[in-house]
Amino acid sequence: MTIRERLSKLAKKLSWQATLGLVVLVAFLFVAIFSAQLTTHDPAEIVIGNRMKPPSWHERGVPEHFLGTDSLGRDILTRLVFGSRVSILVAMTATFVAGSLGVIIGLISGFYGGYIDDVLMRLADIQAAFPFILLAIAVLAVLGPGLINLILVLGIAGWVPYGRIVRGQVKSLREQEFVEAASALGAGHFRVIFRHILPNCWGPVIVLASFSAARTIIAEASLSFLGLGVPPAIPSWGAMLADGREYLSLAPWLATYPGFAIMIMVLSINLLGDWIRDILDPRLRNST
Amino acid sequence: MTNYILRRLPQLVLVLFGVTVVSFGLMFLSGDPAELWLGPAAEVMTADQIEEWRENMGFNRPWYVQYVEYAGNAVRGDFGTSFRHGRSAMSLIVERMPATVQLASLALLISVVVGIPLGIVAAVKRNTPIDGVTMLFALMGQSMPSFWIGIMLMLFFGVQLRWLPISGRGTIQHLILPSTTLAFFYLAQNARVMRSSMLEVLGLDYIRTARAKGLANRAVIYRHALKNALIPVITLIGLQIGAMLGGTVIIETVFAWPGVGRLVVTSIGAKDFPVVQAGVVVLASSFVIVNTIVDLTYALIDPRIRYS
Amino acid sequence: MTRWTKLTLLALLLAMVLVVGACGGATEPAEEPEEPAETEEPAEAEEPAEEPVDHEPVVILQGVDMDNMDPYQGQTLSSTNIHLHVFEALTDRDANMETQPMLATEWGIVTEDNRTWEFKLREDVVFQNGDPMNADAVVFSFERLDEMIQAGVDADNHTHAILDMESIVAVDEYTVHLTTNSPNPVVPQIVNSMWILSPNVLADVSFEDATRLDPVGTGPYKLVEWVPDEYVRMEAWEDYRDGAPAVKEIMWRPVPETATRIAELKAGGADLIVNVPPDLVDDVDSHPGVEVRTVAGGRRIIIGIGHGRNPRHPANEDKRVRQAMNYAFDAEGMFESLLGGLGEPAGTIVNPPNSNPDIEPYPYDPDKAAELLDEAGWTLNPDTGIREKDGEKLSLVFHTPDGRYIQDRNMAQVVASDLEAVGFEIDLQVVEWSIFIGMAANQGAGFGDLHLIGSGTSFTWMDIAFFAAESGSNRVGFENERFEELYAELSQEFDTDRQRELLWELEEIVREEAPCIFTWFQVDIYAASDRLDWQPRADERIRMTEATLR
Repeated sequence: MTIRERLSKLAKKLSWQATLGLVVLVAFLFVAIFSAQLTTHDPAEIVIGNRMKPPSWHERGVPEHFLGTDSLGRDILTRLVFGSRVSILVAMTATFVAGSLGVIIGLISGFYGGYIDDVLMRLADIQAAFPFILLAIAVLAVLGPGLINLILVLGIAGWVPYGRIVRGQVKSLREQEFVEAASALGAGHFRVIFRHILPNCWGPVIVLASFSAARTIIAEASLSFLGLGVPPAIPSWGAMLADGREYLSLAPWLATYPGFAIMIMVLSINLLGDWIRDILDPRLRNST
Repeated sequence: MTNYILRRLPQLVLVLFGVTVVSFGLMFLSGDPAELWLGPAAEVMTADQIEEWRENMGFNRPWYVQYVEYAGNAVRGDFGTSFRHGRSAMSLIVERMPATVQLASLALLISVVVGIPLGIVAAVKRNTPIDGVTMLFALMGQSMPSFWIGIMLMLFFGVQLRWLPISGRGTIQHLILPSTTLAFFYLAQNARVMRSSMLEVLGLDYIRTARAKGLANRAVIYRHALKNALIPVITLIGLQIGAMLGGTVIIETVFAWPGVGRLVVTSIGAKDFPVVQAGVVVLASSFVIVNTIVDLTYALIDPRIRYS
Repeated sequence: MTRWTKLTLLALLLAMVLVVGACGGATEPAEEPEEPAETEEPAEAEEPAEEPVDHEPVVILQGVDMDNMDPYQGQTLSSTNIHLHVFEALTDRDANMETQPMLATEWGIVTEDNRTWEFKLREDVVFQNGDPMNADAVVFSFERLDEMIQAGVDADNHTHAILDMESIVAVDEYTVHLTTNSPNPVVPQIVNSMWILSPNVLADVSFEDATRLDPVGTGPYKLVEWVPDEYVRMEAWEDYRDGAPAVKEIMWRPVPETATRIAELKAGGADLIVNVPPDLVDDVDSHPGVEVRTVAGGRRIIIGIGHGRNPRHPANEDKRVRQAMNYAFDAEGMFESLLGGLGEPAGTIVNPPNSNPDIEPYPYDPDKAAELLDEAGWTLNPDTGIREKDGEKLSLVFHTPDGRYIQDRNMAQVVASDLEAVGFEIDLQVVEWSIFIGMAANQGAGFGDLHLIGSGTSFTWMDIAFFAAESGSNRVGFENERFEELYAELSQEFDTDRQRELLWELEEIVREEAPCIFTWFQVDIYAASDRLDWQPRADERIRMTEATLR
């Protein structure tokens, strides 16, 4: 079954949880794309006189700041809306980096086998030995924080599971008749890999990607907590949550809304991911 | 079995070697130690004084000389002397190991003891409100950064209710908040995997047969389905043991828990390379060793693995 | 084996891991029945304690732990705060930052070349173990630091470098002669962090072992127990020569997370916490049983204006432009908005009590700023709102660290918007600390047109050295003939009145030449429980000898 056939079958099987997740994610994506159109403030605009204003329905709130302002008088709703860009950007690109790196290494390792396989898989073992967050901290401490560095670190730290799964798939596919037939007919390595093997690996890769996207968003927040997140000028949910943690009793809105946004986003990805896994992972298909 | 072990051991050694290379490389790349380490003193020191300091500290030698010395010592567990503490870096790490292991163990226990029953209940009561609530709870556990969960628990149980101490280590009560926080993510993971594994097993032929033969539902679930459904969860738990050792970094910072993770983070901040190297190598090695043991145990249980 | 037995085996293995963990933990908690969070809860849980509870330790939460037991190898402030309760030095800095006798009774220059200082020691001092404190102990302590630096031990480089000692000799049992490589007028101030150690205890101990050896000093507290990253416990030394201090027991705990420190204080688990964020002053202060204590600290925060030898934007070369920046900056507005109203505008980089009392900070006067900029030829382009001169925009790059000093990045943003209000264009770049210090190296070679930086102090006239031409901290490229002339004289001057005269004139030059935007002396914010009667000091040192329990 090709991926296209599978997807069309999927659409018929949407559970309510998956539908909910999908709707929320599409909404977030919409908000991220049209951030500038949806907001009335500049996310970086500092109005010191307006700082720490509570949401507008509070006594001290002001109508032009619906969810209140932060410690520099910046509009929280605006920053939340723009923050969705960073969260989605980081999650998508880091997952993409990890996924492509893992798929490429997995393909090479599985296809060529032998000592290339040995070397690459030992590399995977070495990297997997470092706890994810510890590796990210150590690398960021060396490179210095920054959006690009953050994406690279989260991406590079996450390739191993993809590499291992794709390698396993390739190894089993290689033995199958259609691949052997293609090779026998003189198809080049690249042709065999891209035309015959790769399309059969997407299932598990998509499942993995959905969960690592969720994990990336959490990791971004955790790194912000340790002061290694995106630079302060860029609004991100993780940084907003981390910045607001000290003000919980004084100005709970600083941290509550970004915390809520992270939770909803990750929850939606997980709901959707669960469903994708149930559909694409043959091992669980019979129970769904 | 012996063959399998013999095959795994060289891999283990190789991985550990790689770990030392990476940890050395990271620290070597982080810049001129004189600028990083001397800080305000560099402002009042003359260029000659700074050069002399570099000489004394051994930072003047080429990187490969430094690495060979580093690797030679690392094999013996000697990562040099901590700049900040003036003591063997390894002993600082070893000293804090019990606190970290204690925290991770209790978190593991909580995540197993709470997570597995939750998963079973959700599977058995599939598609009921109980299932829905349980899974929502589990998903939420995986959807919040741990520092956030930690601070919320601290403010609620420590400041508001005053039931539990807020930070530090000492009595058993001190363990509750940090270990619960650390357990949250893994608890959710266990519950979800347990649920799907249970569902899968319940759908298998032999369970259907057992039911068809008229066995009571309860007996089917606990006698037949459970032990098979547990296998993927146990694999997962094996992986969690290692992951938790690293995952303590943030929890230890939030709760001022005197463990390895927090020491490594403060040492990164203070550019105390020997301690960072020792900490990273120890945490990574524990991870590899624990996983190897889990693999070996697994091979003991399922002979097919040995030959694959 | 059946699969079921094998699973049981695996479960046993897991259980073993747990037991190992539990045992590792079980050995230590037993040693500490007196856990602060526990014992203090009843005392302060509801309302402030009604009667004094002297027997309970005063719990102090700092960000990091004591580095080690050796006062010369511990360099963080947290370490110094702990050590200074156990050890004493020849001189001391009192609460007003004036130098006072401590183990020395008097001192002075004794040679023509101004290089040798004589210190007369107190004759009634013993170490906590009974060893006599005498000239041998002083010589041993000073020489030990020298040996440490030679041996590549990372000891107190800062003091070692400023002291620049050539030799130290015991003249008689209670007299020492300290000779410096060149005349050094600040010796009496600098030796206040040269802790006097007992040679009987340490002479045969390696530097590494000294980091673990229980400290023996002449100070008012004895260290009872140190559990790394958990706590340091100390008790008042009953035989201290001036009588034991009022606070009988101190527990120092390292708590890295600010939110956690505040939570501990509110819940009654601590008596004193450091580094309360300015935004939270009202919140913490309004909590029952808790009070915020602030002090104008010694750390000078400035915004350096790169010019002179470090060519940057040509506008920075013009004194009028630099002054305009100072007029454009609304210090009071910043204190109000960012710093909870704390803080005083600064017009100098010298700390009290040495600073010139007649120096007035630049007032906030944007009109004056605009006037100066117009005068300097930087005129407003009405289309862009940015000033220009000969087609060049008044556009500056501004580097700031983040999280290093109180509100540093936010302050930089406020200053940037103040400058933009008078027609500058500011490109504010927030830089990670490890990169920032790289830029700061070699006299700020890596900095852009403006940079926000802070500098600690030794509470001497040396504060002014910050802008001396050869000084590593002169990252703006400030070079002024008159300044160098006076400074050269000052650094060789031993007469305190003349020192003051020279210093005050130097401060006036710096204010006039405006190599930086003067912002403030960073206010240090602590919070304490009501039962602790204690005032913070400008030098960030926490001294329980200055505290009592209510």
